[in-house]
Amino acid sequence: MSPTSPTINGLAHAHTATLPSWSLVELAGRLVEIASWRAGAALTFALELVLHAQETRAPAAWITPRERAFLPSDAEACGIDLAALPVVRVADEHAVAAAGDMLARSGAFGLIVLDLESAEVPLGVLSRLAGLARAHATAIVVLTKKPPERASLGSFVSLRADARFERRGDGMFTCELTIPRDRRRAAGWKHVEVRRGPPGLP
Amino acid sequence: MDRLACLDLPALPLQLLVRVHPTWRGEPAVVVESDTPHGLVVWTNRAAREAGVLPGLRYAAALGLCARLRAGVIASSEIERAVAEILVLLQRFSPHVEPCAGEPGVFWIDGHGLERLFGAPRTWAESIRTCMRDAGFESRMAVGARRFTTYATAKALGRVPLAVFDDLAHEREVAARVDLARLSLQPEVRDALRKLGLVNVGDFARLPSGGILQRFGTEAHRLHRMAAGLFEDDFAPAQEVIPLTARVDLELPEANLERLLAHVHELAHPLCTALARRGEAATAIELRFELDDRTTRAERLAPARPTVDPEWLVRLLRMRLASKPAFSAGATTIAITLAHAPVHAEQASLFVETRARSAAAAAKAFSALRAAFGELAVTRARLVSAHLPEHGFVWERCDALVDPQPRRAQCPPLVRTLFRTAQKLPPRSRHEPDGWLLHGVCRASVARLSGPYRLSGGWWRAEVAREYYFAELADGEIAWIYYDVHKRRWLRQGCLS
Repeated sequence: MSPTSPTINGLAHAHTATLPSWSLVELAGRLVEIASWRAGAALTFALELVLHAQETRAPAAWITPRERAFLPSDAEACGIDLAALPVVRVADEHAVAAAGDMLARSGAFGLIVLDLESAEVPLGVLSRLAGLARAHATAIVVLTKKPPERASLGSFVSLRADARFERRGDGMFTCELTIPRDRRRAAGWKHVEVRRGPPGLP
Repeated sequence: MDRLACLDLPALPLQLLVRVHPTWRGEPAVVVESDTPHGLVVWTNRAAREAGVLPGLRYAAALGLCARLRAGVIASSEIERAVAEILVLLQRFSPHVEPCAGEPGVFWIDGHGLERLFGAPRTWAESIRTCMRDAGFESRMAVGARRFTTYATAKALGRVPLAVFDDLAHEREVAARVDLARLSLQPEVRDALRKLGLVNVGDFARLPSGGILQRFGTEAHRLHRMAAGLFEDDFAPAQEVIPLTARVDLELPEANLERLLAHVHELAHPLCTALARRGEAATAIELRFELDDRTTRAERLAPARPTVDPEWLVRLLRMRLASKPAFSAGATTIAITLAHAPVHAEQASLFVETRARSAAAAAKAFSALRAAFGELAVTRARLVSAHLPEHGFVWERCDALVDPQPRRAQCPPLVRTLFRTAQKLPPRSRHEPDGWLLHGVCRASVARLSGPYRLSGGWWRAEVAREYYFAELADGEIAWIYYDVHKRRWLRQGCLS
């Protein structure tokens, strides 16, 4: 929440205390990057947003290169209705950004996830995506693979999150999302969840 | 937990009634179920009881016994709102406060680790009671170590409304002597127990547990289990409500009401927007003016229904402030705080997704994608029964959006990435002085291998036999790999992401 603008008679110090949350309401209208590295949990947190979109009846779409995808049985185990999640499978990561542009332009989606991994996205494309996100109140979430110290995709990214998991014991994992950049509120907030490992992982 | 307090606001509905009608204090007053002659009397104060009016009487009969009787109805929503307001006040004294679910007006407050903030337990308890008194509530409080003993003791307190126990044995002894009439047992249950010679908590707790549920009902059974110490570890504190605040410092003192309210509107608008996006609404607004003569003016206002409309809040404030005396000096600082609460689920969904999304536009976008990237570009996954992970689903064509039917999984898993074509891995040598290097020398080696989990199938066509493992690398990556027994090769199926 940005500070209020100067008022008629004096300076405004709006000390808002809204709590950030990893949810669609927080990300609506923004271009978001979820970066992960070795022990990354980007897919997990992106699918959490898909679940939230489905719960609030906001249409969601996923765009990925054909060579990989989230494991559908794991997504289904997270509660996602696979029948209601269109997955656009394209040749490579460059086509992912183009497909994302097409979907965002329609204004028909509340959430669009682009699985880009290591692809570089031209600034012009990012600028268009950010503008479309704002225009249609869509959350456009880009998944990338990079270490936390590498810069985000560009200045059009409204929120950057670094996703990682850590073993907790007894087959459980702590998944942590750190927000080093958030244009709408003070950065540095976190979102933490506990998840179980897949079957067979002690 | 070594320090726990039980705060009892006796007959909370009656206290709320007297708050609404302060002139009724000292008069015989009752809370009735409905404001009709047949309405049952639910709560009575001492003056009413002395006149012979007891709970269970009809309103008309009660009026016959006491002509000066005052009566009113307190809706359950008002009680819930009062409990929520009291909870916010109590959370100033402890981060962990649990309202009693079955008995509005009873709260357990965790006092562990608060000595440095509030001093000795007695001082802390006195502060809480003072806060309740300032809010217009009578209260009694017992500070000890156990939920039930502090509850029973708090219920029994009379002239001395505060008890602090330093010794658990003493606490149990005092609680055991509490008369059963003080607890929230139904009169018929209490009478039945009295006929059996059971008059106090100690007698009741010594009863064998079998048969209490059947003979005396669920409430008595729950109380017996509490007395037996079964719920001691079930402390379930309510979530702390963190208020939304905003403040503005004015360059020049301002006394004009309309200009002040314009500032209030500017402050309230973004807070209301934030609440709406979170599916919450404002249940109260607190306004505080710091004046130029170093005094302050504060107002607290609760709309009849939670709202996210800043105009409505400002209109209510205008009516309130217009009825009060003018400010003694101009205001230099304005601060507002919104108390908030979630709205109902169907209202929450309206707040979250108020924008109409066109299914026709989505279908058009799918057509454009198919034209650009191929007929099978837009798909959805459908799970099928198969042995091998890559055969456990199919991508089928998706032409239009459907209404989702999600569910909340109790313990969702970490999601794996699946490669369409399994990636070949370097062979695993017999001797691995540096560990198995899955990704070559530039990456970390395997620190732990979990498995094997054997899958086989397709014997009627081309037999497949795989041994699956999870390879945890030293840098944190967990790869999902398998050994193809027939091809004698290691491959990577996917990874945890």
